[in-house]
Amino acid sequence: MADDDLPREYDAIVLGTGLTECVIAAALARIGFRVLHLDRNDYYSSEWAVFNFDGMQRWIKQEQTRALEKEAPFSSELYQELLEDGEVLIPLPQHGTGTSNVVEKVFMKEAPADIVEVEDKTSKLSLASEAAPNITSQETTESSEIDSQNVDNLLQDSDKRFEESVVSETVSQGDHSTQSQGKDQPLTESEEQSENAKIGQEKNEENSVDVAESTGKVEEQQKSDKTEPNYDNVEFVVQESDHKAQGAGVKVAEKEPKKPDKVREWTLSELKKEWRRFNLDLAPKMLYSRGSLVELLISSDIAKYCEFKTVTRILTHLNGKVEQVPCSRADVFGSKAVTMVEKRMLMKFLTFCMEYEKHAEDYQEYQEKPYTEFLKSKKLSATVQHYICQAIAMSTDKTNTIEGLRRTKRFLQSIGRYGNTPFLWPLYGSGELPQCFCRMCAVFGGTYILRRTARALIMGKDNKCVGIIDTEGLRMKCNWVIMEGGLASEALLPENSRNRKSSRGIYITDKSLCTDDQDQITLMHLPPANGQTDPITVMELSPATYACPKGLHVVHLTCQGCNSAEEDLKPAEDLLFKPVEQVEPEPTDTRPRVLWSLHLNQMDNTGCDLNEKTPENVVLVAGPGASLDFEHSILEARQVFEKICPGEEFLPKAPNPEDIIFDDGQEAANGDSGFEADVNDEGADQEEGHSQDTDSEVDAGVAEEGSEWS
Amino acid sequence: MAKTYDYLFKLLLIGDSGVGKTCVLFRFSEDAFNSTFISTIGIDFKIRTIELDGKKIKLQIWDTAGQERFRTITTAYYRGAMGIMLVYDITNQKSFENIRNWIRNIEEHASQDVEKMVLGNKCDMNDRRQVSEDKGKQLAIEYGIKFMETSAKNSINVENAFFTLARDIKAKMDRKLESSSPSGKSGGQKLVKEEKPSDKRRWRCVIL
Repeated sequence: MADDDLPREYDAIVLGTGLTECVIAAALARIGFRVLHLDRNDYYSSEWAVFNFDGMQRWIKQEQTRALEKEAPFSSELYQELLEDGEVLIPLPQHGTGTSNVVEKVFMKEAPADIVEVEDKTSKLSLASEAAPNITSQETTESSEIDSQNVDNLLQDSDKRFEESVVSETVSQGDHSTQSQGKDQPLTESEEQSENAKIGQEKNEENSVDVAESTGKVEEQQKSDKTEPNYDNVEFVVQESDHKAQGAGVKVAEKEPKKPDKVREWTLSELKKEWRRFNLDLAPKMLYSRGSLVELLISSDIAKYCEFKTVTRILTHLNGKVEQVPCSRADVFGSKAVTMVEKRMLMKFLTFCMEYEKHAEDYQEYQEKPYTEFLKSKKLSATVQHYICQAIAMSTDKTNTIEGLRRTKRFLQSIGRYGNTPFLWPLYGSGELPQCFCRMCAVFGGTYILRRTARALIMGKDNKCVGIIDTEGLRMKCNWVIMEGGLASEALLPENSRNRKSSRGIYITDKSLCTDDQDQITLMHLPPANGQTDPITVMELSPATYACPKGLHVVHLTCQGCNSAEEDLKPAEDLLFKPVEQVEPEPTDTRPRVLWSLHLNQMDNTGCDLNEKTPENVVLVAGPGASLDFEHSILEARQVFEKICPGEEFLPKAPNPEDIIFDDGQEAANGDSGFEADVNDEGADQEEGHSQDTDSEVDAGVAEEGSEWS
Repeated sequence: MAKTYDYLFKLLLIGDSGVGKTCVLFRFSEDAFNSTFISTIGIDFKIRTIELDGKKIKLQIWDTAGQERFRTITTAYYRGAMGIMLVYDITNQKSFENIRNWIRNIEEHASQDVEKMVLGNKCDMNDRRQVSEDKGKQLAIEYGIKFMETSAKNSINVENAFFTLARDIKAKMDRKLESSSPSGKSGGQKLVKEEKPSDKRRWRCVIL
């Protein structure tokens, strides 16, 4: 239907909607390129995607299916009549994915035992559709587990073809049930288990881990109160109304909003009723406040499509405890965790780091030596060394001094621009960001089709790609193909591109890793475990980010992949969460309990030159990789753009819609570009209500010029 | 700074390609109509400020940027929307049937209490009508939302429709007691570039 008037000729065809592809697509459309952007999935953002709970269930099933499906043999005869003389086809794999070892686990009862279930339409739908496939996935569990081991071996052999295996697991150990989503499972086992779990929880009322309460803390709190006006109220009201809309069920959260101490016991069906309230990222990443993505969002005005929260705290694991790292000046001054002398040392050192390049004599002899040695030489106390090395520089004891200093400075530079930590988190998940660039591309004429990709590249003479055959069998001409590396065939990929992977774990937990009275967004690093060289990244998202409903938290663990994600992340899980196997958790154990988890491995091709073997007008770009931030992606997008259009401006600011509007005559069209500021400012005033005037001028005192450490 | 409006509402237009969403938008925002082609390239949304009960309300109305054509509207489009106009073409049965799909889409991605309204556009083309007014009414009743037939070309009901939607949103907001949030309230912040020559940048809270 819509295909009929779909143009068959483009300047660029982009395959895959990961961030890098989307930034390139937007940049090309912005300067007038005719862009066709395809994605084989029915969702945006490829490996960077964010899903609600239902969407995540569909994704898991899709990955399971793809893992089992065999690639249909490609026959170029089918397309012969579409080809011109001398043209040949390079088929592209249709089922391959960069994702492997997908394992979902549920550690909850299926449904509340004493409540007759009144399902709403949606959860019924999802349960019904999942019940059947589940049986098969459970049956195949064992064999696919073996497969996954094989895959790991293959991976180590490096040049073997990579195959993904997806395992849906059912674990029944100790007292915690691990159920797949199937509704058809007997409840007996799990009922008994949850009894035990309940006992554990009652004893475990939030003996919150020591967080340094201090003047600095208070200051931070006040600031954040200003920046996030009245958040709690607002969130609560929203939730209340939604609950009303949903009718039956979930009332606990409503009843006790003021007592976060009571840990609610969730069941799977309750959680599923709240499916819309989850935003679970496959590849969560944070933005440095002065990083290249923030600059790009502002300079291109794509910032108008997205909203952010500041990451509110940096935690670290020290002496068996989780504690908050003081990283802004106020934090350092206020911290009770460090002595007065340590404060001075820390302040002095951090100030030095802001311009370490100017004081080469101070670190010259340590340049190639471990950063930790340099820190020691500065007579910093063990606690302060730990803060700097692990939490601020996000380094290990192997990181050398020059790199450690570079990372410390990068961290410090971004502090104070928007908040007391250097980081921002995108509301609704980092998987929304690629879509914002897609919107900009579409506004400038880009055509979007999901559930469609290229079946093959058409190669003309001179080893140049002249177009694609899409999966509907249409021939599309183009001058450039930009493509997610994970979609390419072996023939196009360099041999080393499948060597590296990242291991990820997504956990829905019943409370925060370090509870206090605020909705925190947390970043933390743990030292590398077996085989890894880089620290393990821990992000914890509170409901304030819309990652999950009230009363829950979402934790993301990411590290380099050495083995399967499950194996790689086990040590970190043991440290952070209550043991799932334990019959009766220690009453003093205040750690969160995992209710649901998902493990997966993603191919990490950020470290290699993907375009060694590609035709000159076909560009492969990397996936998300294991890094915390977006720097690699933005840099890569910019480079690709410069290759395609040398000398052109990269995502110049889009014209302000308000410059081109007709107005009722009441209000002169705002010629200036302060549009967002005006709108936000006043919109906030008004809508936030006539009662509380909390959020105008919220920024006062929050954003400083430069870094507060300079 | 003097306020130029009291409320800001983010509204969306949704519906199949060719039902006249952009024409409705231009009729309302510029009182213009071009039956051949309106180039929307580079235009994200249109603005018009209206007055209701003595309050100035700035309507920021977002177009789909063509992403409805293959049902590829980004979830980000729905974020923070307070009102949605679902538009079909009375001369196109299929576009009417698809309203259900669009509603499903909204239910998944937009805020749950977003105000919705159904418009049967092109009501000037009665001779080619495929969808009776009654059918439109029934559908709207089924979902508990308001309905109007409009003609962007002859300027029928377009004004009325947007005023009605805005009034409903405002009423909903006024009903909420305290400093409650409108449906789209997100609690997030926007990245904004400072006007001042210093490289200062700051946070603004936004409620769109």
